[in-house]
Formats: sequence, C-alpha cells, structure tokens
Amino acid sequence: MSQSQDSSDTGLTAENSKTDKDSEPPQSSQSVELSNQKPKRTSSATLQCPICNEAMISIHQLNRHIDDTHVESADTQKGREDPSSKLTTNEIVGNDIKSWIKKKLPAEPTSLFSPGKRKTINLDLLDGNRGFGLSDSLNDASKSPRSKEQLPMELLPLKSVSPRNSRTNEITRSHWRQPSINGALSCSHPSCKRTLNIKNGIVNCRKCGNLFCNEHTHCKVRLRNPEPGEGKLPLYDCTANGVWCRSCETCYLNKPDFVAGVEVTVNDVTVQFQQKRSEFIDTKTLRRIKIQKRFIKNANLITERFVANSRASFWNGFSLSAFNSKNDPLIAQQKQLVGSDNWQDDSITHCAICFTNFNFLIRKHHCRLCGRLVCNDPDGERMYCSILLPITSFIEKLPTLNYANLVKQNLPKMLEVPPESQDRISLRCCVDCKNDLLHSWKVSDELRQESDREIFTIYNGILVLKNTISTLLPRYRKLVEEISQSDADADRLDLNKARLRLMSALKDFEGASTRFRTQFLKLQDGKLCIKNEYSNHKQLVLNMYQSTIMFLQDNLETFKSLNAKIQENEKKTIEKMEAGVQQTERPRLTKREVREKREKLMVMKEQAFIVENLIDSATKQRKFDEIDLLLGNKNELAKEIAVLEEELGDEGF
Amino acid sequence: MPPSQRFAQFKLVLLGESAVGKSSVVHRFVKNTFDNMRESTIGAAFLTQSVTLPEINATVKFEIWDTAGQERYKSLAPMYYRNAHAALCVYDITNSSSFQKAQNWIKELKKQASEGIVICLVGNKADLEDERQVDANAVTAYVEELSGEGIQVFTEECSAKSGEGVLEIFTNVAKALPVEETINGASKPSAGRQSGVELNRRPQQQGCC
Repeated sequence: MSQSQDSSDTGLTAENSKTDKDSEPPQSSQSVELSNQKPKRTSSATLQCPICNEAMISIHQLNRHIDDTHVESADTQKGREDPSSKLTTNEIVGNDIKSWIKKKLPAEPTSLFSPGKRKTINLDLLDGNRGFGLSDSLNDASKSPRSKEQLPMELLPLKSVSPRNSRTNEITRSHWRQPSINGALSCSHPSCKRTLNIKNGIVNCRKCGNLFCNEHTHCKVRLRNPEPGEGKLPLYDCTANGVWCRSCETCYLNKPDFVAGVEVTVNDVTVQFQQKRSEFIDTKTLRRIKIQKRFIKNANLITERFVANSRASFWNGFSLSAFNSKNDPLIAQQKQLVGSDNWQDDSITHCAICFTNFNFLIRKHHCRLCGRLVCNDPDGERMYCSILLPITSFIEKLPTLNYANLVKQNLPKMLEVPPESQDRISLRCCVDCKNDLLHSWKVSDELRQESDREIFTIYNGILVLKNTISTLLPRYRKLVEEISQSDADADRLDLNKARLRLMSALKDFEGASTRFRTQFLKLQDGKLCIKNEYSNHKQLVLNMYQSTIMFLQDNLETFKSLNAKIQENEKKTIEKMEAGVQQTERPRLTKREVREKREKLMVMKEQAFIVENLIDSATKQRKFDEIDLLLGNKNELAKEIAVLEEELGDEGF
Repeated sequence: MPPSQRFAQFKLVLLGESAVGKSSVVHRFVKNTFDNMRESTIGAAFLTQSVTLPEINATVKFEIWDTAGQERYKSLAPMYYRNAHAALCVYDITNSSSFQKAQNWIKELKKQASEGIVICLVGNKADLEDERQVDANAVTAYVEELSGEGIQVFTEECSAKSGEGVLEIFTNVAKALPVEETINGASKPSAGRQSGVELNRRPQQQGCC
C-alpha cells in the first residue's frame, strides 16, 4: 500500500505547494503523475482524488479509492522509480500529507452521515464499488419515491459526479431484483427477518441478484459476465480476471474455488527449525568453550603473576604493579590471549553493551575474555556491562576445569588474599562472557537443589523404561513387517516373545507415569496442577509429565496398529489356506494335462470353425431359425475356448 | 388352432463309438439317403428335421447334433448333451465293444445331462443280422437293469442302410418328449424362435475367416 500512498502523495504535495487553489482547471491523472508541479482544483466542501479527480465524501473513502483504483497504475510505475529517492520523498511527503489531512478534516462535510450509517458505507466500500455503496441498489430503488425521500440530498449529485469504476460496471445487473414499491422488503437470507431499508441496507447479491441486508452480503466473489449463450447470471471466475463483487453467503459458499480450495496446504518447517536451532546452539556452545579456554589461560597467567609477585616483593610489589596498568606485561599477555584482532583498540567511543559514551567518569575497560571495550558497571546502573572479580570466585564455582597445577596449588593462598588487595588476582570481564562462563555452573546449580533430586530419580526411572520401549518397538515392527512379507510361521514365536516384552515394558511405563503424576501433581478443579511443595519446579515437572504422556500415547498407538496388522495378516493366511486347496491345483498343470487341454482346445476351435461354416450355409439357405441355434452354440464354444485358454495360460499355443 | 401351429422344438444329440453309423442314421432320417462311403464326422454336425405326431396333432422339430465318435472329439460331447432333451446312444450290433461304449455314454448322460433327458439305445446295422455280436437279450437285460436303477431307457434297432426302423426311433422319441407341456407351457425349452421369417432381422455380421 505504500506505493499507492506514494502516488497520492505526489499529488498532495503538489496541491499543498500551491496556495492559490481553484485558480486552474483540473488536470488529467496522467499529467499529475508526470509532473508534480501541476496544481489541482479542490472544493472546500468535498474531497477529490488527487489522481483522477473523483469526488469523495470522506478521507476514508478516499483512501479506499486510492488503494483500489490506483494501486495497479502505481505498481506499473514501480520499476521506473529509484528506490532510494522514493524513500526520501516518502519521508518528506509523509509530513506533508499529515498537514494536508489536518487541513482537510474540518472541511469534511459532517452532516452527511451519522456514525451508524457510516458503517454501512465502509461495508460497501469493501466491495471495491467506487461510489457510495447504497447507490448501486438505489439506482433501482430511486424509482420508488419512498426510498428517494430517504436519500440524503448530497448523494444524488455525488452519484453523477463520480464516474463509477469501470471494472464493477462490467458485471451485468440485468438480473438484479428490484425492490418492490409497496410493502416492506425483507432480507432474502433464510434466517434473517430484517426489513430492508437505508439503515439495514438494500443490497443485491451480484451473483444471484437477490436482495439482502448489509450484514448478509459481507462476502466477496470474483465474477465475470456471461458469454452469449451462458445465461443471464454472472459467472464465477476464480482467475485474476474476475472482478471482486459483493455476494450473499450462499453464492460465496458455492464458488468453485472455495469448494476445491478447502484443503489446507501444510508447510512443515520443523526440520528447518531444528536445523536452525541446532546451529544456534552449536555456535553458543562453541563460544562458551572458547570463553572457558580463555578463562583457564587467564587464570593460569594471573596465578603465575601472583606467585611471582608474592615471591619477589611480599610487601610492596603488588601496589606498584596494580596502578601501573598501562605498561603492565599482563595486559599484553592477555591481549595476545584474546587475539589482537579481537582486542578492540582505543578509538571506540561507545560501550559495546550499553552503548554509553565513554567519558572521564565512565572509563574504558577491556573484557579480558572477549576483548571488547566496555564500561565498568558492577552495580547495574546501566546494564552490568562489566565487572572486576577475583578469579578465585570463578574457580570456586568452576572447580572441574582443566587449570594448571600451579593454580590448584595456590588456590588456598589466593583465597586468603584480603578483599582490599584482591585487585591483584582479579579479572575484568563483560557481562556476556560472565554469563557464558558460568552457564554450566548455573545449570548444574539449578539441578543441584534438594527437591530436584526426587524428581530426577523418578524421572530417570521413566527414562530407562522409555529407552527400553524405544529399542523394543522398532525390533517388533521389523518382525511384523518380515512376517507380513514372508507369510512364514517360523518367526511367530519370536514375534510373540517380542510382543510380550514390549507389552510389559509399556505397562511398566504407564505405571511409572502414574506414579510420577501422583507424586508431583494433583487434581484441582478438574485440572492437573503441581503440588505446592514442588511449585518452584512447575515447568520442569509439567514438561516431564507431558513428554511422558505423549511418548506413551504415541507408542501405544503404534503398538496397537502393529497388532492390528498382525491380526489382519493372520486372517489373510487362514483365508489363503482355506482357498489354497483349489488354488494350488490350478497353476500346476502336468504335461499330460497340458497335452489334453491343448487337444481339447484344438477340437473346440475346429468345431467353432465348423459351426461358423454351418452358419454361413444356413444363411445362404435362409434357414434363419437354425442360425439362432448355431449362434448360441458358437457363443458356447467361444466361452469354452476362453476358459481353456485361461487354464492353459502360458502353456497355450 | 391349425395343426401347423402346434409345434415344439427339441434338441437331440447322437452319441456312440465311431463308425457305428450315427451320421448315417441321421441322414436317413433327415434326407432319407444312404452313403456307403460316408466319411467320418469332424466335430459335430448340425441338422434339423421335423416329425408329425398325428395322435396329438403336433409337429416336433428336432435340432440334431451329430457328434463325432472318434476319441479325439470326446470333449465336445458334454457341450452338446448338456442341455439336450433327447439323446440317441448308438451302437453297432456287429460290434460288442460299441455296445459297451453306448452303456458308458448312458452312464455319463445320467451323471452329467439334464434331468428328464430321453435316452434311446439304438442298435444300428440291423441289416447285418448274420454278423450280430450283441445279443438282443443282453440288451433287454441291460435296459431292465437300468430301469431297476430308476433310469428309463428305451431301445430300438434299425438299419440306416435299408432305412428300416429309423423313423420309428425318432417318432418314439418325439412321443416320449413332453410335447404338450412345451407347446402350452411357458417354459419352452430352447425353442426360442417361432417358425417363419422375421422381416426385421438384421443380416448376420460375419468375419472373413
């Protein structure tokens, strides 16, 4: 729609720039498109379309009109316009149109419609019927003096002013039912008893021509005019050539593409989603591993330095080096560790996380794990951008990482460092790196809580059963398929065993899920709710339970279908065995039988030939009563021959 | 009702060993001719002939299927006796094995053919009385044995060469057939068509070979 607005905007700006309206004659729509300078005439009482000068009643109608009528012409121009220039004009024009609309709004004729009536206008405009909606039916209704009286007087001139959209005019109206002059009309919809008047609307369904109220002509169908010989009614046309027309519900429901098109096309994007998701998780994990590695190296470095310092000058070494950060070799090492490419240089002026400008108070700090420049915000004034923490606190939380031996040995010592001198062993890291680094700790910490343990033990039991089922079920399926293909009875025993095992596993699983439910969930107002004591793990428990139930349902269903398959199979084999006695004899013809049948077939063919000759001679001798008999015999012979040939099959001649 | 209108049509089949004179009997009946050097029949020949029964004022028309007696064509016979109304089991009185064969045919007919089929055991070549091998007493004994089993078979002897007894056979068969029922009853067995020419008949469509 922006395109259409664009085209209207060009007209509006032109209008706006000219102060002396009404001074020049109206221009054609094409010329407006070509030159923005051409002025247009607008009366103060009505609105006009800036493109085709059609008179409009309200801004809303104008919008509709532009969308419906000029959208196509605008589309065709799309190619010619430079997208960048379009964007800028759009911005400029955007302001203009606001002011233009503001100016126009008071000028809008307020007396025209009450709000209730406006609704009907909106509805009719949906039709793509350019003029005032009721005017269509009123064209016919105006013949009756009664309805004419009810017309707002402004409408009548309007009708003549506005050239009706040519496309709507294409559809024939000859079949429209005329509103009768005397007596109240009511809507043709079977369940609608409303009388048709200006308020409720008097609308012809464009397809069937019957009269309806506004509410029951909501629908739109695409129509075309009937070709000569196709009757009088307009016909459905689902292609783009069809004209959108207002219709009643019946006609809407009967339209062919509706009937044919009810099938929903399903686009399953689960696989794509899973792919994307796994990609995302992979990158996340990679980043976490990277950050972790860097942290280990950093911890090693810092510990080394700590050890060296504590040896060299026990008392004053650290105080010098702590404030001498610019030339600190540690920073150079840390920069190397992160990689000089990642280490942002000092020209950066914004914090990478909160985008605050660095200044005298908000200092730049390098995150030692990712190398970005961030501000110091330990108290969360901005976004906790970075924090300076002693490595010991990290190491305590991540004790299992592969630190150097030096770190492990000196950890107790480092823990004894008093808080005021902890800077020596501290590490600056941004909030993102901190989260990444501590992610595994957070996860395990969440799981470490007491009440979780209970949930997990039970759920683990369920998982074990789940595993058994998911290994047993494919095996069972395989057996079933084998049996249904080979018809052999040999595997029956295996199959039965597998079925029994699977059944017991499923039973156990069901029992476990029931226990799980009774343990953690309770029924409240007919809904399953989590018990109060586990309420802080609501999501976890509910998800576990849901997955359990879904697994159970899915597998039970497959199990049942497999069983049904077996039963069907068995039934078939029994039937086959019953029918087998006759069937086995047929395909196996002995050589003698073949010879006999061939002989028989030959005789039959000979006889058929003889009968043929007899028929000939009977025809010549005009013995018509004989012909019938002979024909009957001939047919009999043909049947017999067919049977024999079928019996012989490939063994025939 | 004029006599010509009392009309019934029956299907009759001849069975028997080869060279007993089935075709000769038929030709004697149908054309009243005899050919000393008749060739053996191939498949089954079809002929029609009528006999009048003045006692009941009716005409019986036989559609006669004269099957070949050779072993080779044995498989054709069931098709023809299956819905036949009468069967002539022909044997050669100078050949005892042909009589044996005729007995087999009777057995088969009782098993396979339709109920109520009229069977006539015909001894042909009665002119060769000197060379007779099948004793008339044996035949009567056999027929009595059959009637003891509930099978009604009547027996005749004839000579196609001299023409003696041929017509009697067919007349007797016609008398044994349910002529009245066929004429009056709705159940006209296979007598589908009235005699006469149907004017609107479409010409028979036939292939070239």
